[in-house]
Amino acid sequence: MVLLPDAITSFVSFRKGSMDTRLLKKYAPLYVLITPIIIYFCVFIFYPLSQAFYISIQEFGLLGSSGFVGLDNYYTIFDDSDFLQVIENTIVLSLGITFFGFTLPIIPAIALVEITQMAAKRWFQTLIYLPNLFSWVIIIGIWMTFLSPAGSLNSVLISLGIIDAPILFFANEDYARGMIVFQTVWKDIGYTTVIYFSAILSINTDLYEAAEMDGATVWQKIWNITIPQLYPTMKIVFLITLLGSLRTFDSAYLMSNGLISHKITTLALYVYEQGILEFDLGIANAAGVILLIIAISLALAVQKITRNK
Amino acid sequence: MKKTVLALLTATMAFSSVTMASDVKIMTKVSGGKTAGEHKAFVQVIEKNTGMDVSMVKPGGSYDQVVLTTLASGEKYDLIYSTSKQLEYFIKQKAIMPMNDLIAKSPILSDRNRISQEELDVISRDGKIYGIPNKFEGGTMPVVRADWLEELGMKDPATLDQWYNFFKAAKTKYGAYGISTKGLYDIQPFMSAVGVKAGYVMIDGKRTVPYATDAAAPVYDWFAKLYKEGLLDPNFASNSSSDMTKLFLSDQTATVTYWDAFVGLYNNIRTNQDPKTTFRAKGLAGVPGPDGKIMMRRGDSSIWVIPANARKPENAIKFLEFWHSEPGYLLGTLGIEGIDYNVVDGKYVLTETGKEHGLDHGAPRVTSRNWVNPFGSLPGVDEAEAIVLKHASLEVLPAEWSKTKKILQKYAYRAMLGKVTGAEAVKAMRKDLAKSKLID
Repeated sequence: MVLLPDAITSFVSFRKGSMDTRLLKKYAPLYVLITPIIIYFCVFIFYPLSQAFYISIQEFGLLGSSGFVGLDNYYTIFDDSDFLQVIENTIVLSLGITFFGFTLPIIPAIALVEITQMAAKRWFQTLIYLPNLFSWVIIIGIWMTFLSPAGSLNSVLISLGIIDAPILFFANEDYARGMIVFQTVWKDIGYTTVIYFSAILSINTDLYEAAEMDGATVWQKIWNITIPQLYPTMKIVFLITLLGSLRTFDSAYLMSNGLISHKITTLALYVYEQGILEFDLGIANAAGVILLIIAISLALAVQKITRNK
Repeated sequence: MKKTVLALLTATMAFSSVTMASDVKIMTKVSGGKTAGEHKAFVQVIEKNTGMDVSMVKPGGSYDQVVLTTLASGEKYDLIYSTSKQLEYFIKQKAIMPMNDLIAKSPILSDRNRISQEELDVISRDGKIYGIPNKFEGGTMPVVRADWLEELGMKDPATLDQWYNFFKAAKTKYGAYGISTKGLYDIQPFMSAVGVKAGYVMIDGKRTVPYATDAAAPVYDWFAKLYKEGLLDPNFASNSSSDMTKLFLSDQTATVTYWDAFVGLYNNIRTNQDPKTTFRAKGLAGVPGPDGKIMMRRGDSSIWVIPANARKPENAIKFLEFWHSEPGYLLGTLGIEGIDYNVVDGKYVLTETGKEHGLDHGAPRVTSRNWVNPFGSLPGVDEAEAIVLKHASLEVLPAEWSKTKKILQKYAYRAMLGKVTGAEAVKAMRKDLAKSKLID
């Protein structure tokens, strides 16, 4: 645990010119171990990012750059009447996915702890994790089959006389965003539940025993012990879910149709449309850089807000 | 370590020399063999007929992405398969070269009996020809259950009221939707009733979008009536081609609006399933407008384009000459001799593989009006094609069309669902189009 800060100190002192060869030699294996990660980040993250920024200030088409255009691509994007709608879609979807994706899994995680019968626990665990194993194509396929006008749900509702005409879940502007949030949360809930479940298992059992001796009810234990003890994990889950939701693409792409696309086109989908469908890599990369700036800003803001909580 | 690097370099150079050595480098989407093995044989047929060493890459999926990343990475191709839909982007970015001079020098490609002027017009801008068609594309049209029309004792519908009556009768008797559609394009045969054309129309030098004019409003209202009465497939906004096909082939809709070629395909599928079937699909013309004129649409063409950075455009032309001559027609339709078909006593006989491949190796119908497929046409195709050739025309679809289409769809679908009236929809369309500077 102490090794790493020392290694960093030795590296910093090496950079400052006061090379401590003894320390460098001592921590050489650590530098070697970390080198592949640094190379990985440089090659697959930092270099592509720098390229994205470079392309965003070029007029860049199919056959490469045809000149420096400064911030013109950014002006073009902000001049695009659709872009504000795209930003709104991204933010609304992101808020929805983050809120429900962050809070709802706490319930099954606590339920898993409370289930004492092993077979039932395993069955529940598998069941809730299962959607996470499916690709988005399968997820959308399942729900489209279930919720289509001729699907099971509409058929049951019509046969029971609850509705007269089928509900168009995938062709209704009012449901479009809700459908994306619902499907994303449904897909990811198992994964997040496992994270919360692991965190709950690591809570000191003495706390629960002490509470029991004080006569605390189950709800009081959950509210006063489990939830507060989960705060550090919740911070991480919140950040992961928020950043992941900003990249919403697959679900929006697969669900998109003429009626609802203006409600669910996210920044990631906008980048795809500009870059792949319209072959305008300058605009696509400028939009990508904007998405990156939003993501970094939000991540920093979340870190600042949650740092002391 | 040195040895490994050396081996990698040698392998890279060897690979480069293989691709560099080829006389023509082509990227294709649908034209080619159905499997890796067959594709190899497919390329060998081209090599045998053209005398060139051919490198023909056929990516497995995400074709547009592959084209984009390949070209953007600087890789050079002599010929690329694309569609007329993407032409505007290619031209805008000067990514492809005009082919007028190359075509003029080619007796085959300048033969208008092989490639009609109309086909070339699809891929020409300001007199410059930017591609060569891959195949005959036809157009979209209402495809109806002709057997149901007969059973119902009805004539081919020719007005919106007659169509409505047919849809209603089909729903009553067969419990099927009257019509299933996909996308805004598909309503053109009915927009024809009010003399409205898809895409852009220039009037006095100004860009107008007929689907957003007051003239189009009654047709949106007509669709809303169909939807309200359960005659229109409610999935129309999210339908895929296969969804429509499934409904049509399973007797769940009386009409679909789709390509003329599919008339034959539908008939063929049902006949193969049950040789005694009464099922009969038939392509019909759109509804005549106030002046009696029928306005249908030609589809997006699949085309071959030469990238601006091509090394050997003249060799791309050699391939295209082969593709648009008899050996090429046989390869694009029937496939490879010995694999897809054999010639027995001067007669063409399909192998089992050939039957599976359904006479389609990238160009099921060739552009030549003179060449006759040894197996003829599928039932109903020739009649449907004749209707398209008589009434269909191309739309003007500039690069900004993708944005325009989104606005049109948003309000058109709302109107078709009866959420707003046709008049309100077209008014909102015009407002948004003007705001986005998409009309003048």
